[in-house]
Amino acid sequence: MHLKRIVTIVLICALVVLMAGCDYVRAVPAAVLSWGSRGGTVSEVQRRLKQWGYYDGAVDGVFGAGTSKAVRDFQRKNGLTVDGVVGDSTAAALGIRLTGGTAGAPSRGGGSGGRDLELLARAVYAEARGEPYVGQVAVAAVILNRVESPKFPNTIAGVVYQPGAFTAVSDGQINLSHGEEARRAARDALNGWDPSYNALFYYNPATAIDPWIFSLPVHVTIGKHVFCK
Amino acid sequence: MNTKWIKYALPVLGALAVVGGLVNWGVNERQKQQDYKAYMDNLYSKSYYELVGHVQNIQTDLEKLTISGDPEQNLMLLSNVWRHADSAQQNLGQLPELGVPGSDMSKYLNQVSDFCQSLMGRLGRRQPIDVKNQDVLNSLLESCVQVVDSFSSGQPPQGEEALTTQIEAPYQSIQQTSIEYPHIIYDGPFSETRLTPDMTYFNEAEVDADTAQQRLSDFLGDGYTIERGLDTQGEIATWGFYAVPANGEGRLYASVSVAGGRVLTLLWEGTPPAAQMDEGQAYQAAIDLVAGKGMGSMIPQYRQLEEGMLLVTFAYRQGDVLCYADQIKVQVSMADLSLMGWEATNYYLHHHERDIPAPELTVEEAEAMLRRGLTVKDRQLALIPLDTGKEVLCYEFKVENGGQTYLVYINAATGHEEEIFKLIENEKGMLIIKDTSKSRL
Repeated sequence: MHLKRIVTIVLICALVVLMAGCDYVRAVPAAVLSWGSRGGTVSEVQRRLKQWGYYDGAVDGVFGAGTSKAVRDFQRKNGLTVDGVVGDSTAAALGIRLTGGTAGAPSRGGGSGGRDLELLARAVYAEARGEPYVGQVAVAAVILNRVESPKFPNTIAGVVYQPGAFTAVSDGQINLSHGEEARRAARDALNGWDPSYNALFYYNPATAIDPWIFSLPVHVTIGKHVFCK
Repeated sequence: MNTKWIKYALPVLGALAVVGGLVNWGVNERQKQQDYKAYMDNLYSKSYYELVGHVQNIQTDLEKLTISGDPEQNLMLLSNVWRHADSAQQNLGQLPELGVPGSDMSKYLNQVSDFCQSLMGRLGRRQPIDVKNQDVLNSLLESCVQVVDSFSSGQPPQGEEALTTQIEAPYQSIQQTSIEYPHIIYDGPFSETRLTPDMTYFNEAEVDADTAQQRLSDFLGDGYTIERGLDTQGEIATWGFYAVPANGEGRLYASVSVAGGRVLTLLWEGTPPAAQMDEGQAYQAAIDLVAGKGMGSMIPQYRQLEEGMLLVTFAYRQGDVLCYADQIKVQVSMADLSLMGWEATNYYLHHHERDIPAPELTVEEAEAMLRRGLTVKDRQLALIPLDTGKEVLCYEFKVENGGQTYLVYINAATGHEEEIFKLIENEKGMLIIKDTSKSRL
């Protein structure tokens, strides 16, 4: 009880001091934000507080009663001095830089798209060279459909190298260098073409030995391959 | 005398040396083969025992989740389950030939990881784990116990026995499991709802092959000789054709849906054409081609120059809202601006007139939710498909930061940041990157 009263008094005193110091605060708006402050940084503070569930008012760039209460709630929960003022430590806890530039410029780097294309092209060449072009795109599409299916690994490399999944991987043909046609087929599949219509399996009826595979419903037969789901 | 003995001994010694060499070579090869086999068996065993460890951890953490009531503790436990399920799934993918029980287990592990991730997203938005989701966690735990039990039947022989008996790989026990996994529905990419597409366009009246051929002929225009080609059965049944252009170089594979008779796919077979046109001409040609197909208001999005062809993607616009799920892809020849590729299957799987709610936030209010210091280049309303399969109305902001361009999506009702895409512009065009590990467009 006693403590609560002291805290309230201290808070009121702090507020009075702060109100009096408003002009000072406005003079260096980038350093400290408190009741009465305005501008982009206040919006940023409000936005952060709103995202983390401390503030439910409008993001209007005006530091008013709602913002002040939200700041105090935030400070209490995060072990900061509860003063309702956004100084360096509170701002830092909110992930905001009061002075200096914006977030650091991200480094540039290429995606892994090129390597995926390369691996997919090799898989197409090893598994389906000599097949009609549509059949090659379909083989690439089956690999991508497996990546998206929960029943198979979730990366292109994981699907291609899954033990026993593709015969041309098991016998090392995957390491042959692919031709232009296989690369185009892999790229068309990566771009969204899927002549297998969501198939997850394909087999050559002349050489397949697992009787289970024949029980799957057939989607399409392209060249020597039967595609099914 | 002596010389005679040597005359006989030399070939014998030679033959002995050859036989000895062969034996030595054979023993070495056999040893090498055994070493490789042991090496592979050890790798498989490592994956298997890691899988078992992760699944046991999933069980423990799921059990803890049933008694934990604290949001932060929930978050820690969920992220543990998510991490173990993801690792277990990877270990499972490294084991050979487990058949249907293996792929069912993979699906279960993916759904566990995916479901926990969706719950983490909810907790991040201060939504507790509700009763419905608690029930799902319980059913996931029940299956997990069964999986752990099935592993215990796969213990390999130990000690001396292990060296003398034919070791049967412990992971093969997975082949014998018959576990009924729960059919769970939640917001995630591997959810059952996500895996079942909307088939409205594929339940329409069926057309015969002749009608389909006529539709294709109308679609392509004059100058093609059309032959029958590969038909497809299944959910999306199509009539297949090959269209040969007048100059006889290359051919287009074409599929027309049996239900509704719509041209779904065109795919060019043959060498890429020599580029003679400039990119601007090809881009305009793509826009004109799409405009002539009567698909409503299709807005060009991204383009990519590839070996004599320009790929342009289009998204449907309803009113002033872009609907990204309704997407078509068009390839135009850089030699003569003819149509060389068409992909509209996804468009027909998603397209419908939507009941789009009015945005609750104004564009200014949404823009205020962006992180400070970003330069906003463009803004528009868009309905974006989430990983969960649901669509959400967002303001799309094209922003620049540190010389890179991004698309940031702010939910038009809640102000939440729903999605961020990275835009890559180079001399070949412009494409979006959502996740570098999955670069499919």
